[in-house]
Amino acid sequence: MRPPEEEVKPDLSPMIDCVFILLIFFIVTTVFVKEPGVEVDDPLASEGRRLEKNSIIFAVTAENKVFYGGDPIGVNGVRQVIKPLLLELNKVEDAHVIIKGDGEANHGIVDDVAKEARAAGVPGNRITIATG
Amino acid sequence: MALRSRSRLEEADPEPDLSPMIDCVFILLIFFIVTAVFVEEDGLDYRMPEEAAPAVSSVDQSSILITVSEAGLVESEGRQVGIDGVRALVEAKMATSEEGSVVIQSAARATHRTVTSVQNEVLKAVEPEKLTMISK
Repeated sequence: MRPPEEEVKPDLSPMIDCVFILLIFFIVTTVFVKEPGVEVDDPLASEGRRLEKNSIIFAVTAENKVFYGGDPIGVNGVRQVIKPLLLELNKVEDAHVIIKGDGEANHGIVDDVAKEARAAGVPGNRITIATG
Repeated sequence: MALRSRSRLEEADPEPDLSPMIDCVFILLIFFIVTAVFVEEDGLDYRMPEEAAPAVSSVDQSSILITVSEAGLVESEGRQVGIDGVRALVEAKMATSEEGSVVIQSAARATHRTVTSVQNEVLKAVEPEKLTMISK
């Protein structure tokens, strides 16, 4: 029997292992997506499918204001937001745009945002609208 | 003498002190936990006509034009169908022609909710590739 004073420090290795696993999990799952920063009441739709996580997200509020990253950018600001983001991508086909329109927003504004996104270079089949 | 005692000390404590590394890893861990955003959005494809698309008046025989008015009225071929009638209408048309397509033309001031409901009803009957959205 060893005297108990000899083992005062607990062995930290299992804890470190555990923390490392958590760290790696969060590093891998983190996607740096700018959220629109406004509350939007998406219309309900049963046919909605799960969209990609790494997307450019715009919001159209009930007052017909267009938001990106917490700022009201207006319909004309959409193109300026998308253009630099497209340059960071290897392929334009990887670009994905989600438009979160409020149920009470004018559909024309949502359509304008989609048109601007396409004019900026996003492929037509990579533009989606968010639903609840 | 001093040298000897130092080397003896090192022999007595061969394990490196891990605490600074643990601190560092914890800071990284907290950073990633805080910045993690779990974006989970459901949605529908939004397909618009190509730039050089023909005008809506020339929608051919096999396609259906559904219009949504500013007041939210849903019409097709001059007949008011309502949101609930859209699916049956599209299914009936698709049964007769394989190459059929659907166009939803909405007024700019129609609410997003109404247009999305119509879009959802159409998508119950056809593939997303066959649906085109127009707003004017």
